Amino acid sequence: MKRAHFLQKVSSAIGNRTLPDQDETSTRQNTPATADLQTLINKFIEEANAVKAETHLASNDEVALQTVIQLLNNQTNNKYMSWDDSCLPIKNLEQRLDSANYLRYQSTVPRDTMERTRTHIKLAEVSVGITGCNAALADTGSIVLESKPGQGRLSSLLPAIHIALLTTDQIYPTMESYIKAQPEAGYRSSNLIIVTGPSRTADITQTLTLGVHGPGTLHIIIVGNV
Amino acid sequence: MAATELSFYDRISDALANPDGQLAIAAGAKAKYDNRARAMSEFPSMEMTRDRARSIRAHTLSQLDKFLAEFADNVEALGGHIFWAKNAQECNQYINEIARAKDVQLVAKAKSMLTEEISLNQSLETSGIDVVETDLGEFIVQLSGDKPSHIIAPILHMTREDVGNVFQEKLNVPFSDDPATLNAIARAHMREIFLKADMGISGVNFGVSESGAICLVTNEGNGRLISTAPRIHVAVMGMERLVPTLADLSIMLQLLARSATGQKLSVYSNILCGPRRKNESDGPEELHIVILDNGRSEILGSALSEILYCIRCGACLNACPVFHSIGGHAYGSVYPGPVGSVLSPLLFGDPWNPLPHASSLCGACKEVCPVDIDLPGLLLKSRSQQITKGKSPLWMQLSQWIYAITSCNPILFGLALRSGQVVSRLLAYDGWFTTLPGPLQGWSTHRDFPALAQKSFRQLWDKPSQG
Repeated sequence: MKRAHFLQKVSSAIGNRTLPDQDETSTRQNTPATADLQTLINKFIEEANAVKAETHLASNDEVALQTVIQLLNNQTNNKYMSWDDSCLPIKNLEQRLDSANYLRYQSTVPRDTMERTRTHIKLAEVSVGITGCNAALADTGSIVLESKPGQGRLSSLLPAIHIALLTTDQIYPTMESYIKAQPEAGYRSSNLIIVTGPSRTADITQTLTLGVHGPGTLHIIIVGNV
Repeated sequence: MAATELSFYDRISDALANPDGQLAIAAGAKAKYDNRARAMSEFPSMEMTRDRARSIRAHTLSQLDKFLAEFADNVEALGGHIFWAKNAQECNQYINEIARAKDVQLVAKAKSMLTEEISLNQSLETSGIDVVETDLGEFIVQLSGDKPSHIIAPILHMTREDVGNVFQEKLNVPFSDDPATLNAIARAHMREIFLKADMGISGVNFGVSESGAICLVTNEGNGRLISTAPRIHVAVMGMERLVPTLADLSIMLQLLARSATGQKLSVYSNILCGPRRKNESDGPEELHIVILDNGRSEILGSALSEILYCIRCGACLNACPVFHSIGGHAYGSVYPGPVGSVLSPLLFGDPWNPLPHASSLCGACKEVCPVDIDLPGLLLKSRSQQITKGKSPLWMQLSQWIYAITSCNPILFGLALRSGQVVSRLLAYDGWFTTLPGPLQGWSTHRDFPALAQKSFRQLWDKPSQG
């Protein structure tokens, strides 16, 4: 169907009926904007834990790195995939993990169809994905990830375990405050994903189970002086 | 959508004769109802947010042509393709054509009631394409050759033993009724499909006109996988599903999650803005968004246009005492419950006309609706439209005609009353009819009907001293 014809049908349906318009005054005021950093972090941790994400505090890069290694240690294999180093808050993560004998799988997916599938199948061997965050939302315990160059979507999606590195200055009180501060986040990359806890389902008799398609374990390492 | 062979009333009888299914549905819906109530009570300024959401929907629909044009322009500027589909056939044909042109063998699908509405799976399967539903509930529905019974929880009607049996039979695995084990089996089975699929198909929870983004909301992560791994992503969007801005979207996402499952946000609020970009490391090479009318422009121009505010959270299903008793299948529509009772006759036609009558108009649906749709009012309007169009059953037309004549004529009315009293005296037992004759029999199967008083109000009024 032609666009003009389609829209014409819609316009004539709307016709002269006057539907109530938006009341701009009733915008929502939620968490007080004056919340100090400590309150914000505490709220974030409380909400993230409530949705079964595991949070870890790391006062500096070194502590964060040790936490990552500890989490990787518990795995059956030594393979991981991650965002590029330049997109992570810990310096030289790849090199540091390399010297600790962890193997980073290249996660850039080729555009060619056959190569694409082959890469996907190889990446399925990986048990841990490491990413940074672009923001976090305290009142829902969510982390926000953008698919900018070097920040592949699959690292937070394919492996059974997702480790996200968050810095304290990235935490916003609410989704509204985040969107207000960074409106361009909604369109500057092909994917903006708001992650609230590990993958879950309650389809079978309303019984909660974790990790149905996405990661069943989500570790959030909060890096910075708290 | 084709009408099923059974009538609505036959399907209700079937549902009522299945106590296991009934218990599963009532318990599941009740749990969801309670979760929603808890999440809403914790929500600061809930009523204000609901008003805001309602005004966003009203605003969007009042200028839908403008927002659709803006949305389409933005999608195309991002490198996405827009297809305008008048009806199911145009939509299915377009998707089939892409599949053929791009040599698509395997399609991974996220849950979408809209694609159920247009029977997209059947259409693709006829062309020899494998289509796999990846939402856990929809996957089980597909394996067992069943139909979803709830727009959010497709297997609300199944017990865990039912699911165990389906997996044992269809996937050749040992029987288990443990949800975690069943979940692990599904994850393992589905992995390969995500990785190998040529095309991912989803619905759209919301389109954002200011940016051309679409938002897919899932808890499982299948919506992310099918919009990331396959080289082509096709999203089918009902034309009413727009919000003007990202800020509006954030309000809708919070209300949707709280209303649907009682979460503050669903696990994945997935905002997609065009296909994979230059220098990005993954994502689909192609994005097609089909904007579907399929009867919606007629609804928009009708007295029932408010039903298009619906954001498909399923809260009205969970609150509805009729849904609790008869479940989703009895409605015979992809859209059951109160919202489905209004939508189905509009989208699918006369065979669904009995649905709006299956309501006690208790108002529980309106109370829980995140955009405050006046569902009882719409059900009444739908009924009255049927009557003014002469589409009610003949017995009803006839009895209403007789009632109208009788009640307008004092002599006839008095006569009718007196004959009612005579019948009461002869047939009622202890002031009650235990069975009613003829077509009224169904009413008295589960309850008694009060007999008429031996003296009517009119008689008492005429001769008060004898009262």
